Amino acid sequence: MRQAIVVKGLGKRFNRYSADRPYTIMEAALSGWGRMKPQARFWALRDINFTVSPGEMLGILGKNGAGKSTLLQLLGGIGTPEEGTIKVNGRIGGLLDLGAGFHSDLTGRENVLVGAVVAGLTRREAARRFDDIVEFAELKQFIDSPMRTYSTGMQMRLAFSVAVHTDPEVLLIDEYLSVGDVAFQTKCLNRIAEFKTQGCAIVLISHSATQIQKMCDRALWLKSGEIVAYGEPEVVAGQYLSEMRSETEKRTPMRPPEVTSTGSQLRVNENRFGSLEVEITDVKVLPDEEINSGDAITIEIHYSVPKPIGAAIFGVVISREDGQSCFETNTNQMGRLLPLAEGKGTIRLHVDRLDLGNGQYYVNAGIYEKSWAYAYDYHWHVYPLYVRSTVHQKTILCPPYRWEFQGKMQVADLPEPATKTHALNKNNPGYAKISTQLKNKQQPDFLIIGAQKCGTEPLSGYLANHLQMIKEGSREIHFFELNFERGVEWYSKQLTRSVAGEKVLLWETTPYYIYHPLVAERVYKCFPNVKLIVMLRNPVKRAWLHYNLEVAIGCEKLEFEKAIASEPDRLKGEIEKIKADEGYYSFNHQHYSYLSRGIYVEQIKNWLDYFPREQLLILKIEDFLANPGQVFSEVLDFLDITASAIKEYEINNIEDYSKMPPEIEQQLTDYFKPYNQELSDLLKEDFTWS
Amino acid sequence: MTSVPTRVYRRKIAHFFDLLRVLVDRDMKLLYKRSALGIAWTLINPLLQLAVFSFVFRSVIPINIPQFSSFAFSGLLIWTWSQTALFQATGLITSNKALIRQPNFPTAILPVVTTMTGLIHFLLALPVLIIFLAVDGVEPSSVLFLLPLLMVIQFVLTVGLAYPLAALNVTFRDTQHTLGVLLQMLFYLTPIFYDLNNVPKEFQPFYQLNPMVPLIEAYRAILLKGTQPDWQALLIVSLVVAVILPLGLAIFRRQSNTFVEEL
Repeated sequence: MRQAIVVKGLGKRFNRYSADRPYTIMEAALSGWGRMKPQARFWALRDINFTVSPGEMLGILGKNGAGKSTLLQLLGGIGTPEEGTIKVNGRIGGLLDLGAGFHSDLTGRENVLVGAVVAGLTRREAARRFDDIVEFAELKQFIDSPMRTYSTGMQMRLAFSVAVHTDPEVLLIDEYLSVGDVAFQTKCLNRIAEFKTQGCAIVLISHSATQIQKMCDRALWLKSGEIVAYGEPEVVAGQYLSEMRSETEKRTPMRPPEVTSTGSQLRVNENRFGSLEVEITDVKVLPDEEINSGDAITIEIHYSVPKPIGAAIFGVVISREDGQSCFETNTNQMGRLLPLAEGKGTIRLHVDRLDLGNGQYYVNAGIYEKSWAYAYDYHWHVYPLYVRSTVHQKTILCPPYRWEFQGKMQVADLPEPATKTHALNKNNPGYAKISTQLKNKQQPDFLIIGAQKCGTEPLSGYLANHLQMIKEGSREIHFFELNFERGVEWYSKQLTRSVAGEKVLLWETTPYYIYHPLVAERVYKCFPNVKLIVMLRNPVKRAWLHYNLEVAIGCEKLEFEKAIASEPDRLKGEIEKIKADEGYYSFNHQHYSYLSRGIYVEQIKNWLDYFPREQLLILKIEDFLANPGQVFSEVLDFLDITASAIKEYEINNIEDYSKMPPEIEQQLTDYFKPYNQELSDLLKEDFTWS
Repeated sequence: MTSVPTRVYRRKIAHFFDLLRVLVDRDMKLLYKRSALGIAWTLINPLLQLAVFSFVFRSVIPINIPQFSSFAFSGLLIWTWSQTALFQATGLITSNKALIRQPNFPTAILPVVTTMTGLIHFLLALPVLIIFLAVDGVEPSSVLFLLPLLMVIQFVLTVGLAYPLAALNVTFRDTQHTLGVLLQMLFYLTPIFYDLNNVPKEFQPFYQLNPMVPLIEAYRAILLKGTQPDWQALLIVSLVVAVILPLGLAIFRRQSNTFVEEL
């Protein structure tokens, strides 16, 4: 990114003249030109380096005569430096002088126009913005009075208003913000904040360290023309204040560098700031200085108190190498001030998970005076922390995340195209009859409608192996819920066609059908005579398998317990939306319905609203696995066909998922118990899975 | 489509002229803000001077110059423009601190503004001069079209001289007073109410050192005599101006920087 201001090695030298330096031509001629020469030269600024990027705000702190205003002037192109370079990109707006060249004999109106043009607007632009300027300054009724009738506050308001209405890309503000009433000050500060978000680079001079701490992204402390500290406002302002304080109390702590337990050097005013009334003796990052993103860490601050302190605030900031603060907290936030007794102590901050992006960070620890006036001790960029993450993009945060898609997932849900067509044996005695049926038949004979993860696949496999396949149709056509607008004609082309004896059977398997609220009605309207096969499983087990499936395909990032806990939220209003809008696709309904899909009784009831009980065959996978032959013959009876195995089919029932935590299993068992009981009562068969 | 740099450049030019206009406007307003007579004040000063001269040089010490009113009034107007502009410009840096301290304010525009204000007064007084010329029976001639050229030369000359003077005033605050005395002397040493031809031959070369002399002579050639001006003399003046202007500007810039830095 292009920086708005780049200052490199800046130095400004002033001349100091003797007090009796001639001020008139006569004197000079009489006393000789030698007295005109400066007696001494001094550097008002030396070796100043900083950058301000667009949208950034730099605060400059320092006492009178520290060179703040000189620096601001040089930035504004007033005067030329003796050393180094200043580069300012963009239009400069500034409030360097109260009054901005206003003339006391002219009216407010005249002065505004002059001021706006002087500030860089054309006359037309100035005229166009005139009303805004006056309105912002709240001086409408005085605008045609001469400037000499204005109070200082009013003049400042008008000057500020002009300055902020000139679209500056770089705004320089000397400490005039302190002029004027509080309400207007707030207005100005808001306006400045607005500029900042619009990408305006701002340099602000202030006496108030608190103001700089509150408003600025960076701070720079000047002392006798040199930079004492440049960096985070909190650090610099705290440091400035602590020096102001220690100066008055004559105890500026300067001591030789100390070494921390991790081997880093602590150097006062470089990475250590504060009055040292309380000292941080060590900071430990536990369990390790290197963690994985999302891990928990504990930050342990060891401190020693030479003299009791009434109240103190502990603070921790985790920042990036460039100083960007990523996480910040302090003991004040929990509303507690900690009184510190003499001696040593330890305070720990536990962070349950630190979801930071890959990279190098620092743990900064500080102990502050109870009103944040200054720091007792602050260690900055001393304790490293490396966070490992699989996401290597430039990102500060790396929280658990997932993508969610609203709208139809056409591509994902498109059925695979029908593939194999088996030639029919023409020697088959019923060949003519079968081929007529194949030509004419469009309607499905039966549907395997679910439920998901309940063994519909082995059942289909079993059927495919016992029937003579003419055409293997698409797997999971999802016609009635996701592809309904494609029409029945399209649908019948996707169906599997097989032959049993002299009978041709059209069928398909889509486990989402049973659960989708619109399907039963649609199936009934299209094919009221179709037979429906339902395969069920213990809903506790089903939920676990479903969860592991979602994890495997990357749709689920939560722990199982959290996933089922957040299910009500995830599904909230989804069914209503599906019912209200036929075109609505609900990702959550399809994917995050671990428990809801297991409440079979409600789904079966829905189907029984349209179809008579005899048209449904409801099976349990547990029975099927235990005794496939018997259950399968039930299926054949239901379909009114006879068939024998063409080749041996092995049920693939490998579950390499880990076991569900037993306490959740118990919890879920209890959860499903009443529903299972209700289902058993409804169907007059045992579906309790106990 | 114009390229971005061209547009930026054009905007800068447009802004410079807007700034000039606004500042001239400001100067005019300030001049007449508390004066009941308003713009008429511009005329009263040269007219009063003319009345005195007419009385002295017609009745007290008669000098034989035909069309004396037109002759003296034209000289007065021309001189007044440069004199006022130079006198005011000398105090520019010191009296416009607030403006100079605006970021990126083109300080060098200030003497231009003052000279421009003088030019406007000059133009406003022109109709009165025309009346005098008409009364004196001077026929307008085609060389009048050269008038703007002379004004441009005088304008640049005045700005060129204003720069170093304003700069000098930063170091020596009595520059303006000293200049006032000097200008008063020069007023008498310039053929304003007398004819250059009446100056003795041995003093003529000294008169040629004053760049205002060929200018006033050229104005009078155009206005009163209806003849071509002395082109050679004008060329020399132009060359002098071409040297003074950049030099003066450089000194002015340096001094205005020092000024805002040190105060």
